[in-house]
Amino acid sequence: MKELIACHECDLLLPYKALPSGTKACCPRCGYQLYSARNNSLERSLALNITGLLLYIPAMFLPIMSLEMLGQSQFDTVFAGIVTLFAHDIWWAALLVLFCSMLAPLLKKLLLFYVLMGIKHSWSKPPLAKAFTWYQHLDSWAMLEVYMLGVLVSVVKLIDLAAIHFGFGLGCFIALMICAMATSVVLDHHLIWHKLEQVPNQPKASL
Amino acid sequence: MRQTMMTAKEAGWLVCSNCHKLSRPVPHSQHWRCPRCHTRLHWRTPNSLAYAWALTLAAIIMFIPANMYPITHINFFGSGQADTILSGVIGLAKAGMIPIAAVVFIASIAVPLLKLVGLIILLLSVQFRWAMSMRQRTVMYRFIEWIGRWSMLDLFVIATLVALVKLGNIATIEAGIGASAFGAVVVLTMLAAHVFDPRLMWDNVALPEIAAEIEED
Ligand SMILES: [Zn+2]
Ligand SMILES: [Zn+2]
Repeated sequence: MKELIACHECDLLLPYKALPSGTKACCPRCGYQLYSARNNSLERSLALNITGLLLYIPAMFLPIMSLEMLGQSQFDTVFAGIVTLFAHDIWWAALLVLFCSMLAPLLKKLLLFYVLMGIKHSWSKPPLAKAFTWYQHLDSWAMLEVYMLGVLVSVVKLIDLAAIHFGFGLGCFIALMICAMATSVVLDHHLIWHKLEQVPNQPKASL
Repeated sequence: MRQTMMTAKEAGWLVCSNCHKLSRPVPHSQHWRCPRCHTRLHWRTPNSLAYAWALTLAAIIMFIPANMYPITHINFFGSGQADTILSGVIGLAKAGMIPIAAVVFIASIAVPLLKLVGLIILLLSVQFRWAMSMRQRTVMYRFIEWIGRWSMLDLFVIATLVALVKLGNIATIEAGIGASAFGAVVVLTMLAAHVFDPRLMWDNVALPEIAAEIEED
């Protein structure tokens, strides 16, 4: 039987067709992007994912910049900003920033790593499907690029008051952000679900 | 093979909201689950409109304290100053930092306001079956979905500022309750856009009489 798909935004039923690589399929009724075809999507996603995981710790725990004001200097990390918010008792905003700038990006990376490795080594299907479901739910809550713009705005706000020096952490953070953005371009959700369907319910016996 | 346009629902296919797989409803059963990812299946997200309304109204209520209460308290050489979102933008503009004032204005005031108005229009249009241009509605829906995250900007600015500026008695910046209320607005509007099922907008619209073929881009 011919494989059918449905547009997730307008519910139009469409026959699936394989695309030449580098192109994407759009819904003729509402224009929603249905899926895209890319060469080596899985391998490239995995490479970007591992790079992102390696960059995560330096990006979060190394100073992103230092501030020098009237002879005193102070440098800080992404993590320290969140700790300070907690110390000021506005835990609601603190939790939100903690989740969107640190936890969600980390969880997304770990879940994707697990899913990609699972597809490669045919681990058991139900936990893999669950993990990718969570990955999709977290998608809109990981906000590295918004955080980056926030850092830029604060720098501009302080630029007249103090001398600002950028730290190594900032470079790592920018690289981490680029990795995350590239992953979202390269990763083909349609393909991942297709592969997950072929993974056995029970893991293959290890050799 | 070509076929005329039909929605998945009309053709009797359930679409998984999670992995987008099509499956046939199992007869004599109320609780369908996706064979691929085990997500609960529904023809349309249940109570989508009611949840979206509730979240939107809650966001409108939180929008008031978010703009009335200070989001930051700045202490500079002993003189304190409390800033609300609006006074912060005005302060930036007065200091001559027009581009950054514009960015903060767009992210913290214009976008949340537009999102709330957009959500209300979308919900009303579905609720009362307004004959609105589909193009307008689609653009509005995608804008609301896409822009949501950028409203977090102001909270990230505050997080960076309070961490960076804590130089003993010289200067401190502290976050105010307005920041928490603002965070609530961002989260509530994001959730409202998330529970809103866009297929509801299309359900009242007739399908064009042409063959359905995937467009390549
Ligand atoms: Zn569509
Ligand atoms: Zn599914």
